[in-house]
Amino acid sequence: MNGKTEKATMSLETTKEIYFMVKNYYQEAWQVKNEGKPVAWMGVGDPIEIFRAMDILPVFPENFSAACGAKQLTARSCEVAENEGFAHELCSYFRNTYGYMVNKELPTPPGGGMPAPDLLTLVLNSCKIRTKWWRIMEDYYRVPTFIMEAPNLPWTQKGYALNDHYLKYVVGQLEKLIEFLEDYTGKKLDFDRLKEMLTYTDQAAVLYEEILELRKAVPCPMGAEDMAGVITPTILLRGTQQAVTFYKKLVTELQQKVKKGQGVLPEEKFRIVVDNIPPWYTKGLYNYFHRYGGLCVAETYTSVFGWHCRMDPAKPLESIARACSINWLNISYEERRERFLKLVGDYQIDGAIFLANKGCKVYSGSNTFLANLLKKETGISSLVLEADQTDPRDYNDTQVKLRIDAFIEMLANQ
Amino acid sequence: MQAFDMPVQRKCQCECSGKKVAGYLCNFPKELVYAAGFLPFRLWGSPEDMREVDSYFPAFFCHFARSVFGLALRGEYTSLDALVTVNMDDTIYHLSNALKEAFRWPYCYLLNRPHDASTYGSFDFFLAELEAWKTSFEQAANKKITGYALSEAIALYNESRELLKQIYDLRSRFPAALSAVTVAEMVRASLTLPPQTVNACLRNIIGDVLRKNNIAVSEKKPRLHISGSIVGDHDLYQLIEDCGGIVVSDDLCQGARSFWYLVEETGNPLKDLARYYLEKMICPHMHTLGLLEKRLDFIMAFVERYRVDGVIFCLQKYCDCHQLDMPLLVRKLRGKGIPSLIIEIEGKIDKGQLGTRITAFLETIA
Repeated sequence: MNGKTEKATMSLETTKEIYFMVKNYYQEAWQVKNEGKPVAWMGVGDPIEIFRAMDILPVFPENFSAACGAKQLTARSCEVAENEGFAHELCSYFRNTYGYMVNKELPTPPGGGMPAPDLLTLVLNSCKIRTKWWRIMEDYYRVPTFIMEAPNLPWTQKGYALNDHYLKYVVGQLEKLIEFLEDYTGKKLDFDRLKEMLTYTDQAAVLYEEILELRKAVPCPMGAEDMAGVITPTILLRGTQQAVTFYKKLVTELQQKVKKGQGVLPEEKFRIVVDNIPPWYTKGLYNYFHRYGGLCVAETYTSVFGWHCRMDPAKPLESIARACSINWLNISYEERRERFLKLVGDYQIDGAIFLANKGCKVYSGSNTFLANLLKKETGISSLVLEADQTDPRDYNDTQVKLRIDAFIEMLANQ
Repeated sequence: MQAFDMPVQRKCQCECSGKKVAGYLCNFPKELVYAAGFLPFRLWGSPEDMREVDSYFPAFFCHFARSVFGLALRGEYTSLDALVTVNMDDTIYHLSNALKEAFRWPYCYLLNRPHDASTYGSFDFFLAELEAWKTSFEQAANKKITGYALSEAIALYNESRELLKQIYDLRSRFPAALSAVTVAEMVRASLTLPPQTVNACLRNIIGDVLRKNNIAVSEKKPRLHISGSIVGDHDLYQLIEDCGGIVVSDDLCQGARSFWYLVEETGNPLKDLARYYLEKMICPHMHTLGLLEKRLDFIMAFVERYRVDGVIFCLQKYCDCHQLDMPLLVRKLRGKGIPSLIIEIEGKIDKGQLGTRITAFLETIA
């Protein structure tokens, strides 16, 4: 690491609650564990409503690693994994979790970290690293494990029009997941309870859509420094009233700002889109654009990723299967093209930042395709910056900022 | 058999008398392609450094994937009549999409193969995928893929598999007659040339070696197994032999993993293929429960069959799935008393540095 990393400076009130939300979540997880209730480790975006409806607490190794990154704790934990033979170029979420899994001497993570799992579950819906990672955890913890797959979508089909055999395959596996959980807990899933949770999920999705709509305003009322954490309630608390309440509050705050014509910046000159997972250890990077009148107004990670899929409680498993299948990383370049160009138009983008996150090939693979597409279709320029999502050791803050300086200068001269 | 030079298509088209050629990636069920009247031609990439790819495909992807894109960029694949790929890992998914978007292909298709053979519905899903592809390709090729043609294709490729297995057995007995480079070229040919040509050639080679079975078995040299995905630069094999070792086996995806097991012929060829490509491939990109143990057993079976003294893990830099398996495999092999060396490759090998490491490793196991 060269140069210091920085925490983000938030401009909204509601988003300041997110830090405490995460901390409380892990503290509560320990409480649940101590009460003898089951804890399942799972992938972000997995169908947590099913688990909540069965009183199983979901905990997320990826979110845990992001939280460790934000607290600048990940350099040592990643080193532990590397010392055990895992390559430096592997996913830093994996390396961090592995480090904390095998080494109990590392600094205390936020909220005390993750209580040990009673179950491991995962939906493979893009990243093929996670499945190997989950098998490694299964080998270590020796707990019941269930991995299912929502296949990558080829270019012959779109997320909004899934082929029957894709839908059938995912729904069939969800039914097996429910059987697996019923066997473990010894009780039946209450479908009415699941439907109630999916209603909350759908309400949260509608509010999330409103947030995205409000960010289209010029000047923009919320930058990436605030938005990066806004997916947290979707990840941790989907299917709960708490998530709905958070998003309602955020919508209200944003509506007031938009009504007053109040943006993050007094003078907004450049509207920027960012691609890739935020570099959690230096989220303050987003604030750096402010000095030039630049604001990150949209991100593929939060705006078009698919965290906020609508749900039809009358068709619970089909809705969940669709939600599992259509995320940004699971769709073809053809569909990414559609989503990305629409995003760029809707948000009146002036420039794009692509983070080259070498540990996350599944996200970074389309960097060059999207950058070239943008230039060709709209004439908009891009900048590629090297930034891992959680491991700060290769991050060169000085160099990154020098490149941003030059990029903004170029945008100003266009 | 000689190494393939570029442009690859011209050569293979020449070999198969004007037959249409479908380039494929990974373990696409090549029997289906062949039964449609096309020559399935596995894309190999090139060990050459191709910096020009950086503008189209990120630099932190494995050299193999980048070089396939690079060859397409250089126009090496322009004469292909189709590109068919199978979704094995994130790199191949990206590469397939990037190739599809960047170049014009007469036909281009991505097939989904589940990554866990034991998942509920995985076989039915894969079968549905194969049927959907078959229908699509039949339309594009304007030719029906009959059950008879498919059975014939399976039989032909199964024969190649059996012959290659014999070659591996013979190499173990007569390593001086069958160098590692020669055997690697035979496997490559089996994945790129018409199976009849390959089978005839392999039968001749086997006959020749057996006739000259008075070739002295080499003096006692360390016998090595190569584990990994792709060895793009066959100079590596030469280097190992120059350093004093003998390569006697491998579990590479462009090596023994491509032919070690046969497609079982039960009378329903499409189901037979689905079962083979879903369940028989000990592919590190799968996560079927117990896969790692199966990989270990597969390696150990070679260790015993060919009296292996040491294992060289030859990993493509940035190949995540292999990198994730490696520490656990190394540990388990060590537990069984099998020494191993880990080398990371990106394109052309660095003979100087690598030679020193290989020599040191051979000294420890000699």
